[in-house]
Amino acid sequence: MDTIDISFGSPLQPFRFSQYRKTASKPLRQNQTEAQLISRLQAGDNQAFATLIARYHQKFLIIARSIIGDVFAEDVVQEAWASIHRAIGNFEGRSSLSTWMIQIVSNEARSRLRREKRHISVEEIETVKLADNDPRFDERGHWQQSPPHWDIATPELMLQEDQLRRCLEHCLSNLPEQQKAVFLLREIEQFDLDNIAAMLALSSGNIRVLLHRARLRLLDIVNHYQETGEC
Amino acid sequence: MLNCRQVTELACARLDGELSALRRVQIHMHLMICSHCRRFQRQFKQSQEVASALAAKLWVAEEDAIAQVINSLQTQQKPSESKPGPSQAPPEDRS
Repeated sequence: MDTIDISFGSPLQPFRFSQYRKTASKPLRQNQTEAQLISRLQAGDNQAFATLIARYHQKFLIIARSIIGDVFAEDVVQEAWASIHRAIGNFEGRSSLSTWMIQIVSNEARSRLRREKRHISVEEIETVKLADNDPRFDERGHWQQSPPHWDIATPELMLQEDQLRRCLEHCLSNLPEQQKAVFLLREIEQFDLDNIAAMLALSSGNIRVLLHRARLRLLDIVNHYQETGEC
Repeated sequence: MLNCRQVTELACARLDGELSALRRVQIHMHLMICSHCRRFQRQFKQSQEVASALAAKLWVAEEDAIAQVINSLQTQQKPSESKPGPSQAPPEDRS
């Protein structure tokens, strides 16, 4: 499928996915400032809106799943896009565009959670704790043995390793939903931890432990690959 | 004096810039004398850099998903074309 009508009621303007696929994963600054993007969105530029969907839809799904679970996440995100599309003209820029949009997704998911609580079983958030007994350390808290030596010693070189990239992508895709959402909001969207806690309706303590677990899991993947050349 | 386990447990908070000045000094002193912890801290940071770079490219919507969102927006918009306006108030955009 090469083209799709994204006219949203305005005269038909066939749109080519290839026009924005190349730019979808790049930070906004590399292509245009956020202010320029907002201006285009508020002027009703449908290509700008499609670019926004390409960049954020998957991220919104991750956030929604972490709040309400898999069954209702797509509905919630679709509703959020409708709200964003309706309200973008009134966006005043008092927060960043991504903060504003993620807040809409979060509100939509939490509101849906309240409505559906009787009908769905969302995984209960236990108070997450770090393990008491970490086998890497002796009883005095010293390393039992040195962390493994890495032959591929810089991020640039690691990113050139196809197999390592696949291992990490598999790990990222299979992180538990809450760890994935916290990692996304912290590492990619760069929100502070208290904001993330509010967005995901979790305690700050839980956010810190979830992030720690995700990061350790990713480190383990790299460690294992460096030692064995396998996932 | 912090031990290796404590320094390792604080690696996340260190990465996020959440440590007090006292803690930062304590960790700095430990790292001066502990090559294992220096290696761990370096590898911890590098693995996050690599994973973040990959995640930013990985978590981008597929074409089918984008088309579905757009189609759904169009479907939702048609009944309301005669009377535009949000059916649900969005949150205020404040930081």
